[in-house]
Amino acid sequence: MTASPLRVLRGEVTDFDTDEGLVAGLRRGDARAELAAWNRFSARVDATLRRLLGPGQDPQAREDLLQEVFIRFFARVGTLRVAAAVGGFLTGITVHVVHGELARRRRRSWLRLTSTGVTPDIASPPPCAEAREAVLRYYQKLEVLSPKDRSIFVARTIEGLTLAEVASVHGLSVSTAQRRLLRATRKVSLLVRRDPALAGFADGGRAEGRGA
Amino acid sequence: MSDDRPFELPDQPESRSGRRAREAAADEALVSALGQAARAVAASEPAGPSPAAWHRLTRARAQPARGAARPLRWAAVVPVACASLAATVAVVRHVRPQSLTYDVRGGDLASSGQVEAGPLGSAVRFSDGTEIQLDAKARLAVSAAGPHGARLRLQAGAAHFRVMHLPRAAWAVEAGPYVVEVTGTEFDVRWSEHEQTVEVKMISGSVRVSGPLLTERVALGKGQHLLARPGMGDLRIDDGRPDRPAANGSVPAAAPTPAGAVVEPLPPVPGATLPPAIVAPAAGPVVAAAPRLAAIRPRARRRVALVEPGRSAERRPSDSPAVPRADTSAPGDGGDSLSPPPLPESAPSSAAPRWRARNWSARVASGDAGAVVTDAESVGVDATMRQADAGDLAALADAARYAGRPELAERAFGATRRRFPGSSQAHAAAFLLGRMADDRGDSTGGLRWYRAYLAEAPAGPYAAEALGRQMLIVKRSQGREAALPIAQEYLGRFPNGTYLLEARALIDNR
Repeated sequence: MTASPLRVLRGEVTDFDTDEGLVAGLRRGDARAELAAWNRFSARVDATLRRLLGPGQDPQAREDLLQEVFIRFFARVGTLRVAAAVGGFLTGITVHVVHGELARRRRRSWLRLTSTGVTPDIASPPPCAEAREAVLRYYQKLEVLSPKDRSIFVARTIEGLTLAEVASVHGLSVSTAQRRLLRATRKVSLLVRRDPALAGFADGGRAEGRGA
Repeated sequence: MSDDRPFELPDQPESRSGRRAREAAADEALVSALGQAARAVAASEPAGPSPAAWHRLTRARAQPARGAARPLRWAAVVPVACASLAATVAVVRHVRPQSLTYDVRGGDLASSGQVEAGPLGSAVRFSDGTEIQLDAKARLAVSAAGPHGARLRLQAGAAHFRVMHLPRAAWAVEAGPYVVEVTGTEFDVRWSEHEQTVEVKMISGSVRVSGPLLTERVALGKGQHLLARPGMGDLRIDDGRPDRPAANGSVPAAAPTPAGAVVEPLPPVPGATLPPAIVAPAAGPVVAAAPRLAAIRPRARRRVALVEPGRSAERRPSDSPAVPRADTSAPGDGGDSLSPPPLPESAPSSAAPRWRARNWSARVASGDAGAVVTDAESVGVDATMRQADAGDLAALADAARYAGRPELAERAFGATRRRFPGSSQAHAAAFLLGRMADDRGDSTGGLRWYRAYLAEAPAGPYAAEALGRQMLIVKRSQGREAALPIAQEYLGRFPNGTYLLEARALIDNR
């Protein structure tokens, strides 16, 4: 992270520093716990949304998704069995929300509400023009995948979830998730290799250097 | 990609499984490298949601939930709907009015409906005659256009709207976390993502505004001006006239009387849903000069700006019909239950030099609370308390709380209440002082500050929390019977509040 996340500076968090205390407070419907959860997790969820959606997204649209994540989180935290798993629980909700958003965008594309079905990009100065452009093109390649395959693929290869977590979040068996992941990987790799702008990554050796 | 298989002869074809494994490994390496690049790019972008995000979330949660998906119901409805759809489409096509169309001059229009103004601004003209003038570099998204209006989102910059007043006209302009609902009028809107500031300036007609710090929609009439900085908890409306110069050049606010009693000023705001009158404390003279700006607390019918204890003109709970309290006569409250406990600092000197705004709220929001405290100490705590503006004082109080300096926080809150009585920051200070007292076990102090807050800002952003906490303190210190009226009031005012379960439990005597 290059900047400290902005936080809502209200409330005392001493009771909610631990996962157990926080989840207990959320189950009670304690507003302070909700604020503590927001202060603790919102930046992390926002970062996850950035990675799952890709660069150049409308900040307002991403904030809408962030809201949706927390609305679901507060509504469903009562179903969380192990308080220590609250982080993973939230990540799962985030992946679900993004999956739903991508499916919605695809439907909008089908209905021709926009030309691409993708939320319009907001121009922002790139930190590294070359890397950002490459990553942007990469995310465009991912549009060929079905929303679920894309969600599985991004959750595993970009967000870094384990295969078991990916399977759990998407309600699949590990073997099914692995099969879909392999299929998506093959399809995306083929497209990447055909794109001259991403040729550097296909060389492998230079790949890491371009990302930073 | 190099091939380092040492034992395969060149003239032997590679086995199918071996080739697949090699390709799979190469694919995995490729997507791994791209994934790493994607993470690096994501990490290099500014992190974290905007300060207003929490307020928007709170507002979204307060709205009634939409109906949940019901698959079985849909399964029954969909076939019927499909059967009737074909029959009705032709009729609807003839009956339904066409959606509005629009064109853009002097800017770029994306297929998604996003308009980006050029360096000289641009104009968006709708087919019903509505016109929008965008300032240079402003961005506007037409997210949905219907037959009687459109939903617009001002993403950045300022715009002038002239909406045609037509039957059933329905327009909405989103600016940050605020929504301006329009039927037909002329007004300006400005939204700055960087400053987290929304401004609405009315030229004619009326609009209704909803968003953070507003518990309900507020009507703005001709000439009125709304300025909202939700991240700082600041929302103001004025009547659009030029500012009357303040004595020290700072933000106008109610002035204390010699006796310490104050009357919070209310501007003449015709058409707005603002409290119409102010009640002056009986013992104190009415302040003659009414500043033009005032913080808004919708739905408040009467407001009393309380003075600090030990000064004068305190109101008893029975004097305040807007905030009835059933537990005010309880023993152990220490006399007047509406008077907050003493503050740790005496009145400031009258000649306060001009304060150079330090924008501490942004530094606190970025997690740099310690630096704000250090900065205040380098300026001098006494000088800061005398000179800092309301925003910096409130930020210093927050910073002190987060830096583990409660005594400094109390001083800053006290200074805020003395120097900016009637402001939103002063009201918030009452609540936060109460919470600090409550959290350290001072139930009496907490109770009195909560009551003070509720008397000053009965519909303020902390009203639910203050009333809920008051209920718990009274229950703890005086028993269930004493807390019962508060629980009933809580359920009546905040039926979905966070103290719902406690209030119900009290009423059900569980």
